[in-house]
Amino acid sequence: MNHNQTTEETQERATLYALGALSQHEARAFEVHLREGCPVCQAEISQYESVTGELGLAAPAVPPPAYLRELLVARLEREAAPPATAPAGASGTPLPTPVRAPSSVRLYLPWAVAACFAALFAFSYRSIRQIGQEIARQQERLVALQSEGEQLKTTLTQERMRVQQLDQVRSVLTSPGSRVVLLAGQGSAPSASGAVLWDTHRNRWLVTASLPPPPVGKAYQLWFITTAQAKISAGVIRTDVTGQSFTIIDVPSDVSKQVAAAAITLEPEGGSEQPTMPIYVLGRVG
Amino acid sequence: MEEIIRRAAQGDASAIAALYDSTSRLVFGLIVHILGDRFAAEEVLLDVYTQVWCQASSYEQQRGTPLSWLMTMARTRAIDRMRSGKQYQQRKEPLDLAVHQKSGEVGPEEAAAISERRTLVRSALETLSPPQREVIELAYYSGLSHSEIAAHLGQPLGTVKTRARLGMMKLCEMLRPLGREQKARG
Repeated sequence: MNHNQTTEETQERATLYALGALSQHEARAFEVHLREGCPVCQAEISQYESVTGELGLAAPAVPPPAYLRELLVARLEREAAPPATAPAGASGTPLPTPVRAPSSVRLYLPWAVAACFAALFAFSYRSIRQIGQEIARQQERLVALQSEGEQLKTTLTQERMRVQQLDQVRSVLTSPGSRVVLLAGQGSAPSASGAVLWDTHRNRWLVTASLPPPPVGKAYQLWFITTAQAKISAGVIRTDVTGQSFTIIDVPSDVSKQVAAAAITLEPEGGSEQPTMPIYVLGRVG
Repeated sequence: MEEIIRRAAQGDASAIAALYDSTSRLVFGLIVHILGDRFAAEEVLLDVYTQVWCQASSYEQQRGTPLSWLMTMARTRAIDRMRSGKQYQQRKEPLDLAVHQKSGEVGPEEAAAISERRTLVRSALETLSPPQREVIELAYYSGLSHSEIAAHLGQPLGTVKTRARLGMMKLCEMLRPLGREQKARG
C-alpha cells in the first residue's frame, strides 16, 4: 500500500534502511514496498541514500599498500571481461559477491610469505657468501703477513749472526798479538779464498772462506798442518748456499805451538780422519 | 568519474585502475575504519573494486554519484566481512573529526571536488547533537541494527529511531546543496 505523504514513520523507516539499521526482515519488506512503486518512500530513500553515500567520506583516508594495486590489476586480467549485465538491485544495496571473487589476498598470502622467505634466504645466502669470501681474503692476508714476518725474523737472525761475526772479527783484529793467515785457492779451485784470524791470546781461530758450494754429500773440512807435516782435523766447516763460511775454532794449546799451515779440503759429509780429497785453500802460518 | 564507470562498463579494465588510483585512499580508509584490521581491509578493498568491475554497467546515475555508489559498496562489504568473522566484534569507536580535519590527508590524486565534499560531510556530522551522531555512526560504521543500538546505548528503541531520523534529516539538509551540485555536474 502506497503512502500519500511523508510521515515520521516513513522517514524513520527510510533513514534506518539507508543506514542499514533495519532488521533483515524489515529491510526485505521495505524493498518489496519500494518495488511496488510508493512514490513517497522512493523519494525518501533517494535522498537518504545520497547522504549515507557521502558518510563514508568522513573516515580518514588511508593509502593502501602498493602491492594491492598489482593484485587488483592481475585479478582484473584474470576476469578478462565484466560479466553480462545483471539487473541491479537498489544502488545502495549492492548485489551479492561475484562468483569469481575469491579472496586474492588469501590466495597470494602463502606465496607472498614464501617469496619473502626466499628473498630473505637469498639475501642471507649472499651475505654469508660475501662474509665467507671476506674471511678467506683476510686469512690469505694473514698468511702472507705471517710469512713476511718469518722472513723478517730469519733476516734479522742472519743479520745478528753477521754482526756477531763482525764483532768477533773486530775484537780479534784489535787484540794485540793477533795474526792473519791468508788462505789461497789451490789448483782445484783457484778462485777460492779465505783467511784465518788467529787470536793468539785466547788461542782461537776465526776462519772465513769463500768456496764453491759443496756438491751433495760432501762437506769442507779444516786441517791443522803441523811442522812435522801431520794433518790434524779441526772439524767440518759449514758454508751457506753461496759457499761463504765463518767458523770459530778453539785451537788446542799443544797444536797451536806446532801449527805451520791451515788447509781446507772437500771430504765426504761428516768429515774424514785424514784428508782424502783435494785441497781447496791453503795458507802458511807466517 | 561517470566516464570512468562508463569505460569500465564497456570492459575497459584500465578504467578500474584509474578509479582505484583516484579513490582507493578513501575507500581503504573507510574499510579500515569499519574493520579495524588492515589485513582484512586489504581483502575487502580488492573485492570492492572487483565488484565495481562486475557491476559497472548496473550503475544508475540518478541514484547517486559514482563515489557514493563506490563508498556504499565498500561500507556494505566491510560490514558483511565484519559479521562473517567468527568472533566478530563491532568497533564502536566514534570518528575523530577534529583530528582528521587537521591532518587533511588529501592525496595528490584526490581531486579538489572530493576534498571539498569530505570537508562538508565532516562539518555536517559535527553539527549533529552527540546522541544523534552516535546513533548514525553506530549504524553506519559499526553495522548495528536499530535494536542493537538501543541495547548498546541502553535507550528505548523509539528514542534510537527518532535520533536516527532527526540526525539524517539534518545531514540531508546540510548536504543537499552539494548533492544538487554533484548531479548537475554529472
